[in-house]
Amino acid sequence: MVIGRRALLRAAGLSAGSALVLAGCGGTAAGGDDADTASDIELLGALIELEQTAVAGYTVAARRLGGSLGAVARRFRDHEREHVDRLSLASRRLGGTPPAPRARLEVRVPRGERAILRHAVGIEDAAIAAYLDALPRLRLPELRATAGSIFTTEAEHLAVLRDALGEDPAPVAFVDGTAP
Amino acid sequence: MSGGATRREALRRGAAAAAVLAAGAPLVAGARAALAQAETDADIVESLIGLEEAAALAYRTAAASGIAGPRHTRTLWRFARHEQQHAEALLTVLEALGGRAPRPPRTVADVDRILPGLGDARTPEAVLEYALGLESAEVAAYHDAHARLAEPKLLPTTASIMAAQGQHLVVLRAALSQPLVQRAFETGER
Repeated sequence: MVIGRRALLRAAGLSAGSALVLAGCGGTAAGGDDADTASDIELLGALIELEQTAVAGYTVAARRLGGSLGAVARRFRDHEREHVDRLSLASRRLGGTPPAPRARLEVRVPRGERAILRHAVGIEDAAIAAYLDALPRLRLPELRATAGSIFTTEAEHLAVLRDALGEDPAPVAFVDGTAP
Repeated sequence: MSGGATRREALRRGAAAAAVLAAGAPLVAGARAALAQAETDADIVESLIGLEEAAALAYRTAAASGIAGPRHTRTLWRFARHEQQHAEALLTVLEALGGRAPRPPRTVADVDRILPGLGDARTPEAVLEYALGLESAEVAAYHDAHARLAEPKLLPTTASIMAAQGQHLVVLRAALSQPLVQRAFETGER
């Protein structure tokens, strides 16, 4: 499972180190509020980095795609930015320091419409896998609800991208980021 | 078609869309109210099963009517199967929690008690709008459930179902020429 998540995160341009941070967060479930809060902050940090990478990916994609697909990429980039903002706010409220926006986050986005769309599918699959992994580790109920709503939005993005590629937008009854 | 007729048609469509949007809100409110009464994880899962089984029967009924036309009817059948799969997965969860399976709905009247409006959907647009309301209600219920379920191990199952409902929403919005992804945080609110 961790190997699969690493591969997905690499597809989105994240390092294996980030994947390990995510995999390691919250796994020890030490009792007590402080441990729970620290675990949530750590998980939020990993998710924020993932969202920042998605923002960077969609920013490049929006520049390279024209017309309606470019507009879709811009809208999805804006959604990812909102996710960064909301998760960062949650982290600060818990006393954490969210990862700073990186001015020059290098992402490798291919050229050509289908290749860009396929790359975006990788971004969304990575996000879906990461949120699915994070959800049961988050301790605060409101964070779980927020993560669930972001997770569902990423699944909606995925449906739009699959449709643009001429694929079934809703092929499975259970979305876990591994649909063919 | 004259300009006047086009405007009238646009106004008619706008009024119809507004009416259906208003009609979808009670489905969401009803689903959330039903879930709010649940106290334990088993209660919550039982409430979600009721919703899924009602949705499956609603889709089967709408598909069997053929009202939505051949292409959309195929989608309705597929979504019916998805809803049934959700119900079956949740029944397994409920059994593990020691809960008792709710009596599945058998008639349109049963569905109307949980997800009202199926009987009134008599045009393709109305069927699709009803389905949109149904999916929104389900997403809202799962959103609320995620803040209330005590057992974290249940969340991957409920979240993967909620995300599938989100993808259903995209398909239905496309069929109704609505914006496909309407907000950064999908909560089912309409």
